[in-house]
Amino acid sequence: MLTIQGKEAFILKPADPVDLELLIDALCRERDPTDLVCVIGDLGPVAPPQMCNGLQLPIAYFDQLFSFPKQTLIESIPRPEKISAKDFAPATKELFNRIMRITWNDGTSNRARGLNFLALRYDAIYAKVAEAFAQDDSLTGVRVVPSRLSDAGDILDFVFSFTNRKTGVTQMFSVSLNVAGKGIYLVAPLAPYYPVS
Amino acid sequence: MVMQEAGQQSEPQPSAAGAQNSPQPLLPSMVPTQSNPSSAYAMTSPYVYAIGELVTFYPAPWVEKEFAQAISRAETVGLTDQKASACSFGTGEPLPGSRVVRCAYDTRQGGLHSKACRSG
Repeated sequence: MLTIQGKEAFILKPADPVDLELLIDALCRERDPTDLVCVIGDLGPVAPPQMCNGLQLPIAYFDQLFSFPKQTLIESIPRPEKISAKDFAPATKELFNRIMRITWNDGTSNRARGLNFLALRYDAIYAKVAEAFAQDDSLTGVRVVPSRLSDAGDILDFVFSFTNRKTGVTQMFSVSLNVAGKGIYLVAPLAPYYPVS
Repeated sequence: MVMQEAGQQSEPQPSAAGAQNSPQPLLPSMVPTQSNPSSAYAMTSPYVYAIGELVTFYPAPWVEKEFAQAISRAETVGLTDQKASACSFGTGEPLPGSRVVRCAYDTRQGGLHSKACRSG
């Protein structure tokens, strides 16, 4: 079973029975109870009561499952040369924790899937946050908006807002992802964002 | 920090409490309506990309008993519950004098299958 922010979220089942090994390995290796698990797969129906001792949760049929200590993830994010390790580590930790704490981040909506993808696969957002902190900017918002590049809603812009702590000036940067399929991919890298009213 | 999105709509949360009261599967709500495609990003998709914590949950009392028996046959003095459970799965470090039973619960075959028994 996968819990998100302490709440039961999914019953995990391998999409392919061979992948049961992934689940067993994740359970059995030396790990801290707070280690995180990333699950990528298909969302199934709610489990019937007889399936798991009365527990009725959506079933996640996973194609990929890997567990990792949060600290290991944070330490493995490439650090830009211009940012010191002393400044980079707290910034990455804070951004990751904030993304994990977003209330709607259950990993099933397109915006949540995209945000989790960014948290695990796109190190430029960590560099940007660290750079912003170094410039006395504060991360004041993360918004998800449909991209103007796509009418179908397949492409989403993830907009990060930074407000200077002294001047109050806000800058926005966005990264675009295609979240239509199971495999999420980058459409446009992190770049300044200018909202159009 | 504000964590928000444009056009905020209420979104189904796959929590245990919610699921208890709504036995309907999530699938019907997954498909975005054509009349409002801009809100598709906030709706449940047919896919999962989730980050969370793994928790073991025995699907039936008899499975739990089976694991307890497997653990009792191993030498688990000084081990944490997690380590002892890992040994019962059969992928932890083999313990001296232990008999490890590897169990996989497969609902499609309707039972608990013990395999890869290892005697020390």
